[in-house]
This record gives sequence, structure tokens and C-alpha cells, in this order.
Amino acid sequence: MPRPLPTINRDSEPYWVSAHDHALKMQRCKRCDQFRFYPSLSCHFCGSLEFDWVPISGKGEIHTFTTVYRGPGAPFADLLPLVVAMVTLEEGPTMMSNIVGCQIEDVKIGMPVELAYEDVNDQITLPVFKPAR
Amino acid sequence: MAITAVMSGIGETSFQDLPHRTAIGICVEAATTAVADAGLTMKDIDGLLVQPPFFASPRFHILVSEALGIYVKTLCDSTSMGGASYGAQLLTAKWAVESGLCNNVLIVAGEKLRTVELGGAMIMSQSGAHNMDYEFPYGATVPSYYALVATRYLHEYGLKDDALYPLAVTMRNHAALNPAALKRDPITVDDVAKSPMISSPLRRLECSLVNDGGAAYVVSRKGTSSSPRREVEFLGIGIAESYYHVGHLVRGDGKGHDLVRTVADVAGKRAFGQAGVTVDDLDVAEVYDSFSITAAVQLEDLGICGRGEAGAFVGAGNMNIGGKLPMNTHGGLMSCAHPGACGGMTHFVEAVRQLRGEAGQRQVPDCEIALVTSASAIASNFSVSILARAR
Repeated sequence: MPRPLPTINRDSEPYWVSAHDHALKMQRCKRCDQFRFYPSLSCHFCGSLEFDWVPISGKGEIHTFTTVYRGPGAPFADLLPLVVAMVTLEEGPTMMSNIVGCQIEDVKIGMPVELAYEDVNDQITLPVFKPAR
Repeated sequence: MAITAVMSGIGETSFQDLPHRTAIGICVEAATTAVADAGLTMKDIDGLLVQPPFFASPRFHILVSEALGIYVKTLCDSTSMGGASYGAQLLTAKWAVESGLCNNVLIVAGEKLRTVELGGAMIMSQSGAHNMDYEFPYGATVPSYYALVATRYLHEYGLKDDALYPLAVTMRNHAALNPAALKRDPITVDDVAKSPMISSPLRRLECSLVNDGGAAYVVSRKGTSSSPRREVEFLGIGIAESYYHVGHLVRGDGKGHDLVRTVADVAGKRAFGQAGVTVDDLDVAEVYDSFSITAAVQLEDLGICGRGEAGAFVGAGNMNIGGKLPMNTHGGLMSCAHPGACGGMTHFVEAVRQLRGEAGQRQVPDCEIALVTSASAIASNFSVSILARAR
């Protein structure tokens, strides 16, 4: 079974295009200035439908994580063990991602991380994170 | 005079592999048992609530009614609250009976998680149980979602990876007393520690089982079943749902709720408030236990023990049969069975057995008030029910 990949829709297209360009953008509300993730039409803080796509710094820290050792059903079997983490970005949102570029045992809560990009195919690039330099 | 609703009948199938049954067949078997247990026939049923299995038709509730021969229903629907459906369906059924909409509402679910041969990741990828665009592509499995909660929980309270192992041990000890439970050999915390790491920090024995099975119950007007003394009353039901994406749960609501402090407290306050009872009044607690961490956060959110203390509280024997507040007396999802769509229904069925005094070897003496919870979608959707022996 191939690795499941995201479906791009009208709400998320700028996000996935910016990931593909290795210059990740997220939505920032024009009314309340809050960044949000995942992409959506309305701001879940104030309800405004007005927003800009703004490049993010790519800096964040690990809020929590798990190392996946067993994944029945196969799509990720050849990638295991795999670190799945929740990364809280400097801009505020928290997103799920993978931690790459370090030993599994070095991953800790609170660890500063920075954005990296995993080009999965011609269209999809997944934003991932590595330890901050 | 105001109508009062009660739980009048319960039913379960075997939780062993059921390769000879379809999912609908499993529902039929559980439903037939529950309706007979209430001393009713299918002709008495005029309401039907089902939780459909994965891959089910959006009209699954109608298909079940066709299989059962219930032509006219004044309430018939599927509930999509996952593991939190069971208490929510009871609330809907209670409303339907007490408003006069229905006389007898049948709640039923059944699933073939084992013999349909679907792995957890396959189920997720096909059904979208969790987010397919922003989470699943990173390799998140069902256990890994709960592991994210567990890692944070252990970090916040300065606990080691073994903190929640006692929950698995207690559930197994109780399953040993339940002939219907699938895992009955007693285990120790050392056994939990030696079981394979599934998704850190969760080990296999901290994860629920995956199997076939069905369960059902009937909600009726008080006093109308064949044996009113076996009816079980509703003292309070509360429901609270938050979000679905883990990032949103991490951010929380700025009012004290986040990944490890769930909205189960909101459901709990409502249920306890309606019931007019406190934790000290409970005789038994059947707590949704898809993973050790799932049960732990609920025990804390409901004030059964202090923050960060669930593992130590359970480890000290407080939730053993014979302890302060026996928990998951049937063995729970971790050692009795987790038959998918009806998983958490086993907790309600067990609570009814305990309140009727029909729980055999594992009977809690003088059991009058039971807490039953259900939960789903990581640590975000909850129902809390407080049930009582007929008075």
C-alpha cells in the first residue's frame, strides 16, 4: 500500500504550493492578526474571512512526540521507527510533523526545531522538522 | 404524570472471532438478546440508534431495522461520535422515551475488526478516522495519537514511562473474573514493561484489543419491562466535545483545557450535577479505556484522583474489585474486548449487570450507583453517565 498523501483542495492549495516551493506559508487573520493552522476559510479565533498567506519563520519547539515502532496496515512499515511530533511554531499554531536529522533518543519535549522539507513526489512536499542549529 | 426512561435490557455477542457472521448479523444477535432480556419483542421497538461499523452504508440504521423487522420507527439514525456515541445515544433515547416520541429505543452496534482483516492504519486510511491531509501522511497510527497525549502527560507530571502500567494490570485482574473476556491470564507491571513498544511510551499491554463482537441495550418507560426490579435508572448524562486535530487540542481553549486536560470535566460536571451525587457516592466506575492514557486523563478530569496521580491511585488498589471504587470490572477494552463500533457499549452492559447484581464472580457488593464514560477521537469527545439500580 502506498504512503497516504494529502488531498489538495481550494482551502489548502496555497499551503501545499508554498511547501513545494520550500517557503512555507500559513494564513494570518487580517482582523485579529492570529496565525492559524490547518488552512481554513474562517479564522477560528475571531471568525473573520479575511486573511493573508504569510511566510513563517520555520522555528518552533516540540510540544510532544512519539516514536512509532509498529504500524499494522503497512503504509509506513518501511519508514519505522518514525518520530511523530507536535511542533508549536513561533507564530502560535501547533502542527503534526516528523522529526528528522537526529537520533531518536535525542528527541525531547521543548527541543527547539526548525523547518525542513521532504519532497515526496512532484506535487507533494511534506513540511518536517529537524533540530535547530 | 411525567414519563421516566430506564435501561430495560442488555445484550452482547461472543467476543471471539466471528468469521461466520456479517456485521449486521452481529447486530441482530446482540439486539435480539437485549430485547429478550427486557422481556419485549421486536414489535415493541419503535426507536433505533446504531453506531455503524467502518465502511458501512450511510443508511446502516435502516438496514439493521430491515434485518430486525422493525418497519415503522419514529426515531432511527446512525451516530458518528465514535467511542463517545454510547452515552450520547442513551441521552437521545432517554429524551425520546420521556417526550413520548418512542416507547422502546434499541441501541445496537457490531463490528468485525478481527475477521475482516483490516490493520489499524488501513482502517484509518480508508475511513479517515483521523485527519488524512495534515496528520496521517506523517505516519500517525491510532496508538501513536494516544501516545502523543501520554508523552505530554508523563512530561507535565514528571512521571516515568511505567506510570500508567497499573491500569493494564487492574483491567487484566478483573478480566480474569469474567468468563467472556478475551485476555484472562493475570499480568504484572513487569509483563507490561516487557511487552513490545507500539508507539512510545505506549506498550502493547497498554493498548486495547482488536476483535469482533456486538452489543445492544434497550431504553424503555420505567416499569414497562418484564422485571422492573432489573431496570436501571438514569441519574445524569453529560456530553462534551472539543476538537479533532491534535494541534488544536494542544492549543486548547485558554480556559484550562488542552491535550492532557480534556473537556471530560464539562461532561462530568453536568452528569454529577444532574445526579446530585459526588465521586464518593459511586460504587463502580466503567471508564473508556482504549489505552492506559485514555482512562488516566478521564479519572483525573472527573476528579476521581488528583492530576498526575491516576497510575499511583490505581496501583495502590483503589480501583480493584474490593477497593474504594472498582473500575472496569469486566476487564475493559484492554482485557475484555474492543469490538470496534460497539467497544464502549460493553462498559454500559457491565454497569447494568453490576447494578442488577448479576455480575457473578466479579460482582461489587451492594452496587447502587455506577459511573460509565465513553470517549473518542484522541482525547476530545466524551460522554459521562451516572446510572442507578431501580428504586
